[in-house]
Amino acid sequence: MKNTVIELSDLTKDFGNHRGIFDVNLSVEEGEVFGYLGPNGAGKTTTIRHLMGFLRPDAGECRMFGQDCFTNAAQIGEKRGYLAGEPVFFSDLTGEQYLEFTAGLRRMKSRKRMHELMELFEISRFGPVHKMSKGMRQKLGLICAFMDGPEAVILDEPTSGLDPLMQGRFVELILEEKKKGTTILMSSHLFEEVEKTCDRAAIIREGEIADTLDMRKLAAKRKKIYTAKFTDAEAAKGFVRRLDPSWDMRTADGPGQKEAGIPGVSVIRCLENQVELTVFGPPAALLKMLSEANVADLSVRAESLEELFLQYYDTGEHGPKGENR
Amino acid sequence: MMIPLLKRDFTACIRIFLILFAVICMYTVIIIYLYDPEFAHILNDYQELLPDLMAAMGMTGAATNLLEWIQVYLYGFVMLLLPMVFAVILMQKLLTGYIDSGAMANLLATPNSRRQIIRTQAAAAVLWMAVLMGAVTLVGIISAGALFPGELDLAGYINLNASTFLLQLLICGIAYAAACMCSESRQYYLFGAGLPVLFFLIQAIANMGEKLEWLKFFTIFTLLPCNRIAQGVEGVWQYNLAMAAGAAALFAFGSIWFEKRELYI
Repeated sequence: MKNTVIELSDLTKDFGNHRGIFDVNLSVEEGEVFGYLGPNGAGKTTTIRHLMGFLRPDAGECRMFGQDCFTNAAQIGEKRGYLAGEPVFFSDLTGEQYLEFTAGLRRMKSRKRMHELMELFEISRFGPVHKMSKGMRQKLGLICAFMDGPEAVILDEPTSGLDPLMQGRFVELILEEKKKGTTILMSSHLFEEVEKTCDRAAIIREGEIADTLDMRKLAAKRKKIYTAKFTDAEAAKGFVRRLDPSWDMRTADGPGQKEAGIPGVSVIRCLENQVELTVFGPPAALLKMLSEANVADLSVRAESLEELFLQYYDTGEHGPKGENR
Repeated sequence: MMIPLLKRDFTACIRIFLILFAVICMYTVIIIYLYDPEFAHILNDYQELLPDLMAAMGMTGAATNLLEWIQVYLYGFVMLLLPMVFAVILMQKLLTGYIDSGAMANLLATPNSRRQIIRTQAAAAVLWMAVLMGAVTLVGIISAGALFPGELDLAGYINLNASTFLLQLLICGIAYAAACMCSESRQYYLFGAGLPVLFFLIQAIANMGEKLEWLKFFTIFTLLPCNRIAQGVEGVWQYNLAMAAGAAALFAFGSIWFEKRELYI
């Protein structure tokens, strides 16, 4: 049994007017990469502030390495790296001076990892902080978070401001740290980075955990999205009619919930000559039908987490609890 | 004590130190240079002619020797106000700036407790104020020695600066407590700078007239035993003790508050 590194039990911080976080329960095990997802203002940063010992819970507990995050912040700090949502550095220093300052405060002996990380993010020289772009500052913050070889890292929106290439480098870094056994909790509203890196993810909505999902199980349950192009709109409509006679052509947009004639296949939308389908399970029957219908082009992609999680972002009902646990 | 942070505090405050030190030096040297027992009579005449105005500027009492001269014309205004400005800016740089900008998060994310951080910043503030007052004292002694050899009562002058240092520590304490409690620079300036300035104004008014003299019980500046030191009267240590105790209490209060407070950074 692995040790639990991060443990929140019934963590509550009430700012009034239903703002804050309420009865948050989470546990992240050693070596796990945990995603913390939610729209802006859902309570991600408030949770992280508790983990960092900046805030005191109104109720419940917040522990890292078995110690209370508020009272033992310094001891926890020995083993923990941190990247703030909007990292602020001293504007009169250069990036290198700032790293050296942080290394001093962390009483670091070696600068090897620092230089490795600078290489990873392709930085030969930082220059003064006040002239840095948002992306550059983010890189500086990431190096600060990881350069001391932490056992656990808390990252608040780690890829904001990074270009796609550097986002890729970030994913590399996380996967490398994961191999080392580093425990990582990262908040995000970008599903892609979570999808590529995390073992599990929790979704927070209006201060409450809406669901906690196992990403591997989720991947197995994920549907495929097929986009079929036909020669013209009539052919597309004809195909949909054959596939699902109950499909409402007037709206040309369906809920994608009800299954069509073939098990595991449902129509999402039919626009002009294009038909979008979700497919779960073996596609043989669908492929046969498509080839008979003279499909002009076919593309297949995996359903994104975003599409999966969209339900949690709607303000109305909660998502289907427990379905994907 | 966190040495890297202390080094950082040094570079962060050196510029404002140099500026204020230069201004204070200029005043100190000019006032000493202007010392002239004859001229002292003229200024005494001014005090008789315009007692309220001179009193409001903190210039009261006759100057019959160099120490009294310095005490009357420097330690009623310049040496109260300028180190006060330094104290307020110091705390902004050492604490409020970090909290307001969010840079405090980076300090707290390192394996250093709030107690270590806040004690380092308190030590930096006390050190800086000591350096300022020490340097000013040296400049005074050197310029008096060069311009009027043997005229300055050295022990009295050092005592005067020691007491002023304690008063400035008390002001630092007010600013420190305000910085520990506030999250934004605006709030900090309202209390950290507002209260010392208010005390200063009350003192200026209390100096002006007998009817308003009772106001002196509502300002910390009454604790500075300037006249007693200049006139060589006994009982200075009680005042010093009161200022030191007040400063220590304010620093302790601020530190405890900071250790327990919530930080939205």
